[in-house]
Formats: sequence, structure tokens, C-alpha cells
Amino acid sequence: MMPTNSRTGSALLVVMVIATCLGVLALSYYRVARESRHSEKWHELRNTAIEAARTIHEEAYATLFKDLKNQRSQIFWFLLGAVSGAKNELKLPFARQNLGRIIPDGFDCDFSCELKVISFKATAPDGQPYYGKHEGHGILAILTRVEIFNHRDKARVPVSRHYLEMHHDYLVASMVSPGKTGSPFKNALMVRKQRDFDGQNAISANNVQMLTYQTDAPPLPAELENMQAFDRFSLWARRDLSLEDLRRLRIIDTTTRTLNLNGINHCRGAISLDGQWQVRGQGVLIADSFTINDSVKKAESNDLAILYARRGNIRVNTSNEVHAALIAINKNGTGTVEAARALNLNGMILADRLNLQNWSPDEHVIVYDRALSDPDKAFQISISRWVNFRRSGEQS
Amino acid sequence: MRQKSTGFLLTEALLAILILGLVSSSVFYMISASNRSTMDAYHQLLGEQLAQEVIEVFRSIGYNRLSECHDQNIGDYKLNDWHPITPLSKETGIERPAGCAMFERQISMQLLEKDGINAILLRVTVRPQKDGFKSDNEVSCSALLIEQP
Repeated sequence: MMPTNSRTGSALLVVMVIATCLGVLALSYYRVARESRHSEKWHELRNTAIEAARTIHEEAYATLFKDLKNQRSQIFWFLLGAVSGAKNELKLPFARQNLGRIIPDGFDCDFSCELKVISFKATAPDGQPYYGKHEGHGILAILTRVEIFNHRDKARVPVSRHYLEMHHDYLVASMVSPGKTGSPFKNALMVRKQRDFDGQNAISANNVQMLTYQTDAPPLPAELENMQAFDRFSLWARRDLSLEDLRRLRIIDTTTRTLNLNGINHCRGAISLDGQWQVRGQGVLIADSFTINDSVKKAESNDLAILYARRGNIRVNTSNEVHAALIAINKNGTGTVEAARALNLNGMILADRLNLQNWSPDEHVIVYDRALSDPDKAFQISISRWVNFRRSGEQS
Repeated sequence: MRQKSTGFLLTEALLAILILGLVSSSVFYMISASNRSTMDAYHQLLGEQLAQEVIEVFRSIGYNRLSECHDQNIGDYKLNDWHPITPLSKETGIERPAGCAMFERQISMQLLEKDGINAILLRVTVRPQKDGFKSDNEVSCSALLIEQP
């Protein structure tokens, strides 16, 4: 019989227990380390999804900005008639083609981008209704979803997703400042303060016979003396711009001598147009005063330029064609338009007074632009570049 | 009659030492590998942060200004060459974690265009410097910066 020893095998047992404990601890530590490795990959893919969503939003905004200048684009028509809750899918060819360049190897992504009208109001902040059912201001959301898939395995497994929602304000405004009876600019020549007892323009000067204008015009409106234009400030796309801002925003593009007019833009200061300019788009440029030294022509027939001097006068120093509506009215009733050469205007004039003694003794011609008579064909939509609400995360 | 044994058997002790040695060495290896992996993850995260910084700064500069100077340096960001990263940028005032001195960074830009949409493909690669932390890991982040109206 073998001798019995109470300690036999106990060392082995103690070692086994210690080894097991060490093994369990080491395994736990290893698992934690492995998880941190995984989270690092997850973090990288999450950053990629965020970058992809930002790229998609940037393209969506750039597309929106460009398409809203085109009255024939689908987005323009979507927003013109949109009510709160209306949605529209946006096609983004650049992101479709290039997003793969920022996705790591072994992964691919799906995305969608949608426009949603959060709210639209057809009344001004003071409660007064705007013109018709289209004019007003609203909030537009750009909704972006990105999902990254791992396609190393046979199955296409989603590994990261990101949702980005950004809200922008937008304005829908007719460029002819319509009132209840439609466009107020129905005559080639409208003078607020120089009027006779039966409401006609009462311009007195030796060379008045040299001023020829539309003869088949409707009678001047009865309320012309108190008539205001573009007094709904909430529909102005930009206010208090400097001349430098106008150049930076390319509203006045000095390199191509183009007035890129979309929406109502207000500038503090006097604007002088030297050289030959062309007009693109439909819009209103409001400034203290204007001096036009050479031709201003439309690039296309449906372009429309309205130059509105709110403090000073408009002086035209050229006999070349000027395709614009010239408005010079102010609360003191001193706004005037003056032509130092034979005026060749395609548009209209609205002024407080016409000091014809300051006009050159030439034959001045004003041909009425019919584009000024139809408010429904002069809608412009302006979208703000500022984001007034932002939400992002993995889920919408 | 045999004297009663009070110790371990030699074979038992040897076996215990062998098992303890094997387990300890494998545990040591596992912990060391995990440590290495954790440090790698930390450095990867740091590298990603250093790459992301460039994307954020360049995005705020915007397409228009970047497209005009895509062959030059922008602040202390050098284009196309590997350059070291300092904890404090004198030109931009950006403060970075102390560990960033172990890394170097390369920034490249490529102009893209499709259907009137202009963009810059920005690639930032961060890697440990040769005399610093030993790792073959490179962190690469990319972004598309689209021209804004």
C-alpha cells in the first residue's frame, strides 16, 4: 500500500487555481483590448459617415442655390407651390460619382437627400397677407442619410450610419412688388408728386414733348401719390450690404460686368455703373442712388432689373439702351430720375418728380417692359446660407 | 515502517513550476500584446484627431480660397510633403495633445468637377515619425469640400 500524504497534489491544485485566475484575467483584458480595437474602426467609419453627410449637404445646398435661379427647374416649381410638410427627393450626381473616394477600402455606402418644407407662411410678421398664395417665407430642411456597408464578406452588412438635418430660411417674392390689384408698375411713366386734378402726370417743362412713352397704358392708379414699392422688408433677401459685399457675392460682377439679380437686395451707398453691363436673372437692387454711364442690357428676354434709389436720384448719362425699371421715390417726395443724354429706356420710370429742366434737350424714349406687368412671372426664391437648426446622429 | 512524508514530490513540484511558467509566460505575452494593441488604438485615435483637425480647418477656409492656393502652404499646413506636427501652432493658435510630436502629416488636395459642381478632394495622412513610436500604422482621412455659392 502507497503511503498516504495529505499534501500530495495540493501544490498542483494551487498552481491550477492561480493559473485559471490569471488566465481568466488575461482573457478579460484581451477582450477589452480587442473591443477598443473594434471601437477604433467604428470611430473611423463614423467619422467617414459624418464627412459623407456633410459633403452631401454641401452639394444639396449648392444645387438648390443654383436651381432656384432657374424658373424652369424642378426645385423652383417644388418650392413655389410647396406647403408645410411637402417633400422632394434631390438627385446629387457629384456625390454619387465621388463619394467612394472618401470611403475606406472594403466598404461602400448608400445615401439619400431629401428636401422638406418645415413651414411656409403667406403672411407678413405684421399679419398682413403677401401677394397671392405663393409669396411668403418659410423654412426648408435638407435631410441627409448615409449608411456605410462592409462588403468584405458575402453579405453586405451595415456598419455605420449618419443622419444630418439642416434648416434654412427661404423667401418667395415677386419682383414687381405686387399689391391686391397685381403689379403697380403698369405704366411706362409714373410720377407721384407732379399730378394734375384728374390724376394724370403733370410734367411741365419746355422739352416735355421730347419725352415719348407708352400711349396705350391704363390710367394711372388713384393712390399713386402715396404709393410705396418694396415696403415688405421681410421679403428682402439681403439688407445693408456694402458695395464690397455686392462684389463679393457677385451680385455686381465687375470682371464680367454682369448684374446677377435674384431677389431683392439692399445696399447702403451709391452705385455707379460704368461701362457696358448686362443683367442676368430677375431682381431688385436697392441703393441710395444710381448713376448709369453706359448701356445696361438683359442677357435673356425674361431677365428683369429694377433699380430703386431710396434716398437720392437716378441719373442716366448715356444714350445707349438701358433695360431696367428705374424707381426713385422716398418719404420726402424728392426722388427724381434725370437723363443727361437722349434716354433709351426699356422698362419704366417711377419717381416723385421729373425735373425736366435738368434733362438734356434730346428726344427721350421710354418703352414699357411687359415683364413688369405680370407678378406671377416674376417670382424669385431666395434661400439663406445660414443654418437656423441642425440635428445629427445615427438615427433620424 | 516508512517515515511519514511532509514535503511535495519532486515531479509534482517540477510539474507545478512548468505549468505556472507556461501560464505566466502566455499571460505575460497576452497582456503585452493587449498593451501594444491598446497603445496602437490610442495612437490611431490621436492620428485620426490630427487628420480631422486639417479637414475642419480647411472646410472652414472653404473651396474658393483653397482652390486659389492648392500648390502652396496654408498657415503651417504644408501641402504634399511630410511635415512634423507641433503641439502648438504659432500661426493658427491651435493647441494639440502632447503626444502629437511623435507624428508627421501629409496633406494633398485634388480639384474635381462634375455637372457644374466644383470640389476639392482633401486627403490627410498621419503616421508615426521614424524615431518615435514604432508602428507601421498610418491613419488616412478624406473629405470632399464642395464650392459653396
